[in-house]
Amino acid sequence: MSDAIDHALRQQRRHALGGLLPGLAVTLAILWACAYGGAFDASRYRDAVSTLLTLAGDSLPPDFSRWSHWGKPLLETLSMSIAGTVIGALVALPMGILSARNLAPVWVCGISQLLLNIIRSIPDLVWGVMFVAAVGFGPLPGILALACHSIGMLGKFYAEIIEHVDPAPGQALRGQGVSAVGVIRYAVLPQILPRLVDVTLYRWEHNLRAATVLGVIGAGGLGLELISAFHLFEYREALALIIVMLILVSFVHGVSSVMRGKLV
Amino acid sequence: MSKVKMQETLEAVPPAALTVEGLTVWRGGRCVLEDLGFSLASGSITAIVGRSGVGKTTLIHCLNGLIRPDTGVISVPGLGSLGEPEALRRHRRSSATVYQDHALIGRLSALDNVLLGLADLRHPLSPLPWSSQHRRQAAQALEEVGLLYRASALVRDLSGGERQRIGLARALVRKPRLLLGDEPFASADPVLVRRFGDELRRAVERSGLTVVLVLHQLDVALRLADRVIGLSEGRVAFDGAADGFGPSAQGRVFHGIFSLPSGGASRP
Repeated sequence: MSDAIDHALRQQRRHALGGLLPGLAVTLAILWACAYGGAFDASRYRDAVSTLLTLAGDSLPPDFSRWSHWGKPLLETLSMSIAGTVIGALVALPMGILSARNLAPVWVCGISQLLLNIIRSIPDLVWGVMFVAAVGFGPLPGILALACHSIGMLGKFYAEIIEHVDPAPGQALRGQGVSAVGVIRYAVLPQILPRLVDVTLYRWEHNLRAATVLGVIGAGGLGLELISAFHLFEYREALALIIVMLILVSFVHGVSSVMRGKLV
Repeated sequence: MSKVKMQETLEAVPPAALTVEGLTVWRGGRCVLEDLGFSLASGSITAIVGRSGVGKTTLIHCLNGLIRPDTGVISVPGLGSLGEPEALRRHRRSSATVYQDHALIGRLSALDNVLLGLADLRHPLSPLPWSSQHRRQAAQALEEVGLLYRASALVRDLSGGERQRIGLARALVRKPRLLLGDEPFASADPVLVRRFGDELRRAVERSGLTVVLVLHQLDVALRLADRVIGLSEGRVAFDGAADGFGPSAQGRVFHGIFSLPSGGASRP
């Protein structure tokens, strides 16, 4: 009896020791990555703190004097994030369905997943540059860039969510003669709706920040204001803009929390 | 309008008597069902019994077309072989299945789950809400299983027995000619089992409903069914009137001692 217990414990310990080597390898990889980037090079940090303090000092107090010019960029950034997310989600849903191994034939999944990977591997800044060239400056290229990158990301998430759906209700519907499209609509979507909304809202929050960055390449919005302020060494105005963005991000976060709460 | 149309479709279908010939199903390199043959008289209750893993669920899935047999033919008089898409479509429209694991959607209400039983009557991309006619039908089905007062409760908040009754309501709302059940009473208490048994018997006598149930509890099977089909090692080990399913027949079915099927007559 106690032999069996000892044996079980020994086995358990051997099992725990087995995890030691991979753990060590991962630790070494992390240390190498930090060293390669120069994170352990003390000389690089010599002036860092004083410079940061000077910058912080230069940007205080925040300067809101140009606030009346920020309304339009603010709305541009917000509209870019909303339109980009919605267009992205609308295209990502059918692509996600086609990429889910439990719904689509294998070869369709392969093509669809490859397409999503290609779309996703192009950074949204590159999409932005391409669309600025294609349709000109303003929020529109920003919307299209966010939509494209969102398709790649959301399509992948949607496919994974769909693959984890309980197949039983769909099977019950097939057994009474409901078509494949009907199964998706009446059995799959109702089950996954909260999770779809969840990742889409998360993507909206992400796109709001991404929309700001896109301003830098000419897609308008608060990002353009922010980068202009930096270029003119108007650090106090830049800080004010960052505070405005913080408020916007918090607002979007609040709205999406309420929407999540309603749908779970 | 839709009511008239639906009733026309349902009434155009002949009585759901069903014939199975030479049914063989392979699953994962194993022969699950081997050369099954029987015929179901309409207006009867048949119990399928046998040990776990003997292929009872597979048989039910063959009867509703979820599994295509490797060889053999399942046919419905008047419709033809279920291998034909049109015959299968009409067979499915006039049949309904109650599943072992209920197969319900937890975050939808009881009523919405019952409405899923009518999903084949709607266009899959219709943006309209369920018609009031369909909602009324679903509410009536809930009343039949005694759960109308839980209509707007979420299914995930219901007990196992209540879920099973919702699954039954989702099948009954189709007003089927053939009702298939895979352990439909597994989580119901004895009083409920007796009540549903009586309900089913009345429906059989009233409207000629044909019922095929996979049942674990032998006493329920013997009390409820006209006929018992016992499966053992993927084959029919007993097929006859429920009265005739005595200890020796039970021994053959439940102890895997295979012997030839004893006759095939069902109680008229």
